[in-house]
Amino acid sequence: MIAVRDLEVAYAGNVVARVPSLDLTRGEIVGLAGESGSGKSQTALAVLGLSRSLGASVSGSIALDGEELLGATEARWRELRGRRIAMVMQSPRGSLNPTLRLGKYFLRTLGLHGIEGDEARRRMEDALADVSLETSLLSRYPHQVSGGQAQRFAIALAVALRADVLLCDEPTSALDVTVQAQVVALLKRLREEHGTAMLFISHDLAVIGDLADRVVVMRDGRVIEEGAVADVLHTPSDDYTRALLDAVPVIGEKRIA
Amino acid sequence: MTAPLLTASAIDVRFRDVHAVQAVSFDVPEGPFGLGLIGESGSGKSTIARALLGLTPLAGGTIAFEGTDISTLRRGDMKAFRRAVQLVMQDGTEALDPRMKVGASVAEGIAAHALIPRGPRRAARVAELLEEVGLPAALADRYPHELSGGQRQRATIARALAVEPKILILDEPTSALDVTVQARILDLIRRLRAERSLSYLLISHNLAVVDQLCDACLVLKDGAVVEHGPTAQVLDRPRHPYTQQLRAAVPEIAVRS
Repeated sequence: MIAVRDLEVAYAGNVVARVPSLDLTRGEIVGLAGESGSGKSQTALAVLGLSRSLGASVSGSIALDGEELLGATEARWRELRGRRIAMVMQSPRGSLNPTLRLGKYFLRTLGLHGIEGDEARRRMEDALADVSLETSLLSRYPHQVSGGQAQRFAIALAVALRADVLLCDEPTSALDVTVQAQVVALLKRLREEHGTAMLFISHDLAVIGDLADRVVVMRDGRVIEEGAVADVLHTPSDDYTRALLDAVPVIGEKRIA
Repeated sequence: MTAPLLTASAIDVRFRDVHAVQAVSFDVPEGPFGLGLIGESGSGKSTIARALLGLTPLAGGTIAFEGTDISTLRRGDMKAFRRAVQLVMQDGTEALDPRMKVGASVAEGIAAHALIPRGPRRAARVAELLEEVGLPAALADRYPHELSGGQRQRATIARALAVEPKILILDEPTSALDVTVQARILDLIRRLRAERSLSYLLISHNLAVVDQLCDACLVLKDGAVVEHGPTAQVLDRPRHPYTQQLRAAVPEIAVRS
């Protein structure tokens, strides 16, 4: 579905992400792990076609079902973004329009992609039911909902647009642990029911272990290890991956008392 | 047995019609001792921290320091109390004045409490403190923005230790840090605890972090304590359904089959 080859993202000659090869097939979840400055978010922004507008230069190839996107026009990107490839950010409230009620924002976004009237309303209601949100939420403004609700709302929008690729950038990092568990369960269900492919970016290897099929570990802009989740998390071949794994505090280890 | 360092007895905090903290009681004994305050957003954990520092008025109950109700402290004793209880916040960026060199920030408390006169002795003490928290003394001449997140958090800890406190209140001290950096800060707190016989109240939403550093812990929900006991008991054999739910929501590095 998505095929990335020899991707290089640079700002003023400084390479911030270099990804030789990254594939995402239908229904697959790939975890992108790394710490601050590892290049994981830069990789996602490139796949979403946003790097250039942020002042970066991008080279290599990013293909969606065989269509090369790297040279695509901004008009083409606007068709694809949201519609085919959607993004769920760390703080979804920040990406919603604070002056619009959620229902209006939802319908307006569908309208931008040519989905209007009864069809739009029906899709909105189905998508909300999919992510277990009440329709009463639609009359609220972004600041009137919780972080978990806003995150589910962002996912509902992707569902309504029938996006088949979801880029999730630390979608659970700002959430409480019980809410995080709900969002992870929701993403698993989306994959089962809709075959959505996901690039799941996180510094949290435990969440990636729970959710992803494959994992790519990045550090300082480079891919240092990749493979099936079971292999990488159980028998990491790179020292940094091992250090990342060892650093995760585990209940019952290193107890003081 | 001497009186505990800090005692909260049935403390209540209200904000208009919100009962933010409800009848919360606990002791922090002489060190080395760590008490964990576990809770999700809105559980009241940071409000409790503010109340302990005397920054939020109580609607009921008392906070006692070495057996004396802090609301009865006179000016001079209040100053001694403020010296004895030091706060370390989530983000070192907020605690350090961006216009001040790190050394000057670390020395601020030393000056405010007139512990060491300005001059070479004070500079030497600042260098010692920076080294104690694992920073090169030369960082005293840098500004906060020139430091990494982990270095800033170490500097914040050095700043708190500068006045020789009896208790540290650590409010989500590692939540903004990358996981490998977090692991090193947790090691630092463990070392300081042993070397300085430190007592601390550690506020965190991360059960594993509390598990590593705390002898006992409280679990808060909607401002009330739902469970309180030795950490190993609370986390290994949680009795309250909410603690069980929190415990179950923590992803562990296990691999999907």
